[in-house]
Amino acid sequence: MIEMINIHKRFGKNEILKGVNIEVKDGEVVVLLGPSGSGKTTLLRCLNFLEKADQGEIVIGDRRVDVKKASKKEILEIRRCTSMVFQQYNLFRHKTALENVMEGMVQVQKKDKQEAREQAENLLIQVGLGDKINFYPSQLSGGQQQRVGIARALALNPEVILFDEPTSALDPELIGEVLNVMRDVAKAGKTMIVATHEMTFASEIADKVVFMYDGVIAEEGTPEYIFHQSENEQLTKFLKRLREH
Amino acid sequence: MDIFSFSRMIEYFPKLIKCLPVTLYIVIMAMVFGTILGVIIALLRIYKIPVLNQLSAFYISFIRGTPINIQLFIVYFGVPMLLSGIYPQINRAEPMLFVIITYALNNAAFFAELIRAAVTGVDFGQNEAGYSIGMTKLQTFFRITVPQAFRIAIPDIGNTMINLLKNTALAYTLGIIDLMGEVVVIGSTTRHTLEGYINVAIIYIILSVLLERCFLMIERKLNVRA
Repeated sequence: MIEMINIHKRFGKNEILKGVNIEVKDGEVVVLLGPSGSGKTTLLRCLNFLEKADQGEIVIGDRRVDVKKASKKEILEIRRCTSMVFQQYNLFRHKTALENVMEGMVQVQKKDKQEAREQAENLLIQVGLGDKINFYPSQLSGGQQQRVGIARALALNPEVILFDEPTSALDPELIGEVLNVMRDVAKAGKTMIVATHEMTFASEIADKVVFMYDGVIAEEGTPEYIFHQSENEQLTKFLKRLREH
Repeated sequence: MDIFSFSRMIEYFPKLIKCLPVTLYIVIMAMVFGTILGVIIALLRIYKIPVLNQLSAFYISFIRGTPINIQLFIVYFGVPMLLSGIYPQINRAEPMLFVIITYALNNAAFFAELIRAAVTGVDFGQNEAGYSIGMTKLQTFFRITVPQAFRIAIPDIGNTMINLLKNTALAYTLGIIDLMGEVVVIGSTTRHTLEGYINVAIIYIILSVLLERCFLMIERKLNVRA
């Protein structure tokens, strides 16, 4: 189980997270919804310690970390059981698809190279890129790069995979292929937290939808509740704007 | 007036080419020590180490803002004075030592700047990707940042090396008999200088073009996988 308790984060004068509590059960898919600036990305980045929250606690399985007192070792440990899929893919540019996926297994988990290679190949086949394993990121389309990004995150077999708006930098015709891979990951029982604006995808795949507004969780519930029943004012306004779009 | 003759040009050429190793020696030594020092200075600047960062910035602007022959003389006269208390034998050191010190110091400044530009030129998202898969700072730096920074730096490294090669033509002012020094010697003994200058011009061009080609090749090799 993953828990973030009373997370606060400010950048200078700007308070982005104002005490967020979130709980994700094993195997659950949680979708973070909310207008830009509401703190979705920051929340994900705090869980992966790409940002250090100012206050709060992070619990993953039996690891419990007070972010204020987190040591380098604890940060590394948390990072090693979470992995991130970035909006801009952030594949290592000087490495092939295969090397991108292998990097963490070999360097971080110290797996045998041959074993890592086999697993990486299998993962790339799973995301539909079996014929592209020796391609460099610059030779791949955005959708393909993002699928490599997902394979790279899966490779570490983390407790949770964090998706930071994984399709918002993609051309519309490439979004489907990435969402399909994410569906497969969800079906395989991976715990996922996904920040996205893809509502159809959210209602189909999410166990829980969390609506963030102005640095707090304004509403949460099943997709059915969030998309059709909730009367939260900000949420209904937000959904209305999304649907008009 | 007998200013120029081909036969003299051909006659001087072997004498000059014999001095090529001296020029190459200065270039290689300056490159080796300049790179080591340059990396250290670049790291001081990148990680903004207090005091040392400011000193480095001052050092770089001093080197970039003064002509190299002035730097040569400052080192030649200044270093023995500084060290005379601790190591008096320095007064009897060969001029070559001071030449190498100067070119190494000079090269270090330019190197430090190009390394800094290359390292800070690597997209920060690349670092974050490294951290996100659980790599340590050191692992991320050496496995992700350095290879990408190297690619960015290659053309600049080539330019810096070509500049260094050409700059060594001032070492003769401290009495070094390198390519340029030999031209001056020939000039003063035969009173014919133009042939010698044309000869060394050709040698410098050939060396520069060779260097340029080398770096282009490395660049292309790296770009195939970029």
